[in-house]
Amino acid sequence: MVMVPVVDYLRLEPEPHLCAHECTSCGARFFDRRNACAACGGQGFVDAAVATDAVVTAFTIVGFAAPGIEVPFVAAILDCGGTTVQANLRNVTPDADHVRLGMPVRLTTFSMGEDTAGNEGIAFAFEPAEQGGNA
Amino acid sequence: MSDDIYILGISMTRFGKHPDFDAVDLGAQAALTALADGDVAMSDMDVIGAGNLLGGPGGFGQMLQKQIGQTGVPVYNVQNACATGATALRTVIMAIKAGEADMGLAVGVEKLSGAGLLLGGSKAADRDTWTPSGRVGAIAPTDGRIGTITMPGVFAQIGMQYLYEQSYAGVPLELFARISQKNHAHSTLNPLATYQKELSLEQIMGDFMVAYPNTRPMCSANCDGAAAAVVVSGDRLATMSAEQRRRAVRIRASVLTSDPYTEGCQVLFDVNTLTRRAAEAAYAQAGVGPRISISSSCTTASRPPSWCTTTT
Ligand SMILES: [Zn+2]
Repeated sequence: MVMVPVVDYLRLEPEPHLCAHECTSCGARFFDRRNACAACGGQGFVDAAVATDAVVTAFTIVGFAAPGIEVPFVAAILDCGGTTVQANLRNVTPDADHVRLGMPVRLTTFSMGEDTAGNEGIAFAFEPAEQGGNA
Repeated sequence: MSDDIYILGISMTRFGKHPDFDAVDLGAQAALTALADGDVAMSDMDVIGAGNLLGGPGGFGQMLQKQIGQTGVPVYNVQNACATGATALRTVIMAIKAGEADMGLAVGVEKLSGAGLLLGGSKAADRDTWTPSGRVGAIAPTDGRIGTITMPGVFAQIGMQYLYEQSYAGVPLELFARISQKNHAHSTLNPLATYQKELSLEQIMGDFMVAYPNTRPMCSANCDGAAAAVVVSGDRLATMSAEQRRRAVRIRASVLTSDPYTEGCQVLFDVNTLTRRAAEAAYAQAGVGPRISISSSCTTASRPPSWCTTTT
């Protein structure tokens, strides 16, 4: 059985973390396949591990989404040590009393289930950093 | 030779559900009344700027011509998200500035009733194995799994990020609701608005939560409508009737920007920087400042936090 990350910028080894394409000229970070750097036009990139500890700088609690997506869920924008990341929040009650701006969170991974070949999809999210905090 | 450019005629349809009219009908209605408003005809137009993003036929401008006048003039079909209609107008302004036209027609139309969420969604995956594809090598649709790209959710986060940066200490839901309450109050003064009903703070806060802190009345309804303008050069206007000259309105500024790179802007849109730049450029071009001018952004998406995008 092979573990397949939900997106290629989720790296599972040695410990789960996100990996950005970092421009070798200006340091701008991107998560998608790049043609060049949007900040400076540079064409050289290196892999850069993104911090797994983060702070919530924006969030929304989505109550209406396309079919197939479970609601409500918490979508958030995170500051991962200076790199902006988008993710869902997990292991937190999805209401404005439990999710708050500035709350510390950390990366977590979970199974998306197995495909017909027996390979396991692995998704990521962020969860409150405080143990047993406000979940 | 004068570089001044004027709006000679203008028109807008009522916005709302128009099941019996297609995009060409709505565009034609706006265009014909704008021409009548300016007391001119299709045969006077040297250029057409036609804007349509969603819900219309391909080549909207040519389809429109085939209904209201095929004069053989150049047609520019434009798409530019929320600024599509404004870009059609600006295309005509640029054609006149370039000296290729003396007078032109700009039309914008959208047909969105029943369109549902305009972005996002979990398109059924045909594959039965986890196979990476696309620019981030995703094995499943990312909307809803890695954040949200639906408009109510994106703009909720843009507003929340602003509150975080400003260390806002109040309740976001109530703040957003107050802006919506003000906007709904304004709608009662606009006979062309889709909804023209005043709503209380309690009604707005208690409605269905689409994407916290955006409740349903804070989101733009998908609806149908069109607007049109006849634009004319100062030189051509000088040859027209006294009444036309009296009614023409000078365009003091027309600018267009796109979002420059800022950290994180490809994760969550930075809607502030480009808006601020556009406002600064427009004020500079017009030679006036925010004290004596009103700026407005033209948007069709759910954008309740107007305070984070406009500078008026
Ligand atoms: Zn760069």
